Amino acid sequence: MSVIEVKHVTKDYGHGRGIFDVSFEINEGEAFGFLGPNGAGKSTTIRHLMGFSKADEGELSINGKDSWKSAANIKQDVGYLPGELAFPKGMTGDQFIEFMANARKITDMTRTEQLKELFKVDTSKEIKEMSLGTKRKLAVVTAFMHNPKILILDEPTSGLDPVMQERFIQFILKEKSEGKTILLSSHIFTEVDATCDRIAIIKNGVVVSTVESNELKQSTNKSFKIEFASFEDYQKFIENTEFTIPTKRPEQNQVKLSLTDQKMQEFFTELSKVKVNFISEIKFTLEDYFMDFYDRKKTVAAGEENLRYGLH
Amino acid sequence: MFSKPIFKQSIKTNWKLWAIITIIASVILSGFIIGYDAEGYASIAAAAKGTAFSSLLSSMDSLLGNLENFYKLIGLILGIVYVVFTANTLVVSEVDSGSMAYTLSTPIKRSSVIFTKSLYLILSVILMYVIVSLAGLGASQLKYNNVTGYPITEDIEKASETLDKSEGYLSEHLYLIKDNEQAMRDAAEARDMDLDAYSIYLGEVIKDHSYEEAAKIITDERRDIYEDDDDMEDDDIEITTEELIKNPAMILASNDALKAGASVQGISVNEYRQFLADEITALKAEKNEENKGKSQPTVMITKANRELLLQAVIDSSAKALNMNSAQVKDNLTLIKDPTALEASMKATDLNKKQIITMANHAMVSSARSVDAALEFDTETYFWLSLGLLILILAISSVSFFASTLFNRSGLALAIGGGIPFAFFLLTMVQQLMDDAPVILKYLTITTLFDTDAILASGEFGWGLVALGTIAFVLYAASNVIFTKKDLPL
Repeated sequence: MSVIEVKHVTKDYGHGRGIFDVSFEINEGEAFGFLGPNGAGKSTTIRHLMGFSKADEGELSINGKDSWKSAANIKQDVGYLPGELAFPKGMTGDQFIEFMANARKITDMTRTEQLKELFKVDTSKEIKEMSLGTKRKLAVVTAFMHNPKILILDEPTSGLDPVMQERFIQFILKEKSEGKTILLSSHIFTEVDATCDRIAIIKNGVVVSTVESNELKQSTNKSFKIEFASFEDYQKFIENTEFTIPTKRPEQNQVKLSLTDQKMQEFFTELSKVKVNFISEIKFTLEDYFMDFYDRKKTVAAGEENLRYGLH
Repeated sequence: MFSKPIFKQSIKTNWKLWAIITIIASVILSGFIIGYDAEGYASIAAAAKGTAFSSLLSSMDSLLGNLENFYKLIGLILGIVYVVFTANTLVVSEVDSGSMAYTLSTPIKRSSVIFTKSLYLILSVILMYVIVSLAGLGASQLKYNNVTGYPITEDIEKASETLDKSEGYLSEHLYLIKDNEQAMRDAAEARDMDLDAYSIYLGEVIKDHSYEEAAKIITDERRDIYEDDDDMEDDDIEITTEELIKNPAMILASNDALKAGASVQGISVNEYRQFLADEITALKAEKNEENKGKSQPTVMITKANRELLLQAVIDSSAKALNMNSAQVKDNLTLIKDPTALEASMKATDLNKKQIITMANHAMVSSARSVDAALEFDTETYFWLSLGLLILILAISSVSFFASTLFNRSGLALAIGGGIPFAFFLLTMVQQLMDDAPVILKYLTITTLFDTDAILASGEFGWGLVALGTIAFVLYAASNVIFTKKDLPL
């Protein structure tokens, strides 16, 4: 059953800004990564899910309830971590926690205390005197204090040091294991890679691709770079090979190609007929995948092409 | 609809500015009241009669009139400062900075958020002006005792020392001064009068007080009688002191009124009856006198020539006494000096009795005008205070509207603060310039709070209704807009 549904949502701010026909759905207990460069439309989509903005077209719902019309109702089950660390003025951390607890009608503060302990946050100071990291931790505590079933996290680890980032990732994994539904928006590959089951990549307001994280990791496609001993060997290989060779570098006597595991034997038989300087596998990661989309100059088609061949 | 956490948070973020403005406004209003110089303004106003300043000073001849500049300018600008910045902090600055996202990530509805914030602004403004008004009321009561009782003037202060009675008690039992020769002398001196003039003055004051008390009782009695009579308006039922002065016979019809009046005079009911009978006869005689006219003196004193004659008497007295006219004017008893009298009689052809009466009359009427200036009309004060409150509420609705309409704090401040400040500047120009263009009146909503009309008991109600309507409409619109708008959070 999908807990979060985004169907063909369009919001046009003009000048090419906004989100266009964005669709995805997140099932119960699933961690969904929302990856894209700054300004790609991640926050805009989340803003619509939270009911801050009204879509020009399309529908968004959480738990089957409309994100705009039932905005307040939905929040019972949602923990939201805003991307911006802007807190109400003139409050200490404790006052802010108290405010959020009252607003959520929480009386039992044990979980809040646990969270404060887990993230080692000192909440007694005035918020404006806190460091970026402490503010982020404070936001985390208030987002999770009511033990929500759905987590919507906008750039959750920016501003945290590596130790806290790791602790946060562990926390998210624990939440996930408890069956929480998670939407995590980020431009940091590692945290999405580490936590998410499925990843949508958004660029210029358009979702360009949705991939299963496991699919990517267990891809049977392998890419290799080969340098031949001489130009003759290079020539000979190219003329006789049955593989398609997308990248040829005659000056260096190099080629890049990709093949499936089944073709591995054939590939080495071919190579045995020529002299080779070296052969290296090009590891494919989410980061590589993402970088193709990150580069605004490249078209969406080029990115998908690269995904197919896993080449650079 | 109402959200307690939001309300508490609004208080936490805004109470400091609220407290500062409330204290400043209270102190300034109290200062206006305590610092009011009744005698000073009375003499300045008299001196400025017919000059360009007269219109500026005309309102200052009473304690409440003197407050007009507070209600029109200082009270207004302080209120504007509070509402402009508070309206900005409450909504748009939270939207612009993004902190509204935290509030809206809880199950509190947008409509509750904006409703609670409107309510905070409205209630805080109301509380502010209630406190300020009470401070003014307290200051006036402490300084002049004129809110709950009769004003304490210098003669009462002096006599209270002589008689060893409290000022408040003495102000309600003025006959005690009359009964004590030493007290009379001290009191007369305190008011710059001789014994003659002062005893006329005191007699008049006591008489008016007795009529005032009687008027209250008669009005109460009539209220009981006409309670269910729909034809009788409040104004018809009410009997004022002025009506009794013209027709004292009405008191004779009510035993309670007689008792009240007699107790003010410090005499028995029967004596008071006699006193009233004498008054009625005197009033009739006065009327007849006017009709018949007396031909004995060479020069007649009429309303028209009274001031000119008085000036002539003052000038000739000053000459005879080797002083300047201003000195004599400040101390009119000097006219009664034999040398001065002689000179005045020669200069004006008035007889001795006429001049002395004239001097007494001048002293008494100047003292009575000072008393009148110190009177505290609770009803007028209430309307001035309520009017300012409604005006500030209307202005706050403009700022609040701007705060919900715009998403950028700076823009909201420019519009939501610029409009109220423009209103203030227009009001200031009108208030300080005698020949301000009439069109300015129509460019600012402050005109709807007509202090002149309130002070003159004129028609001012519709202006306040209009201001209230502006406030209601803009607050309602703000609530609708905020519930429906896209928030850039």
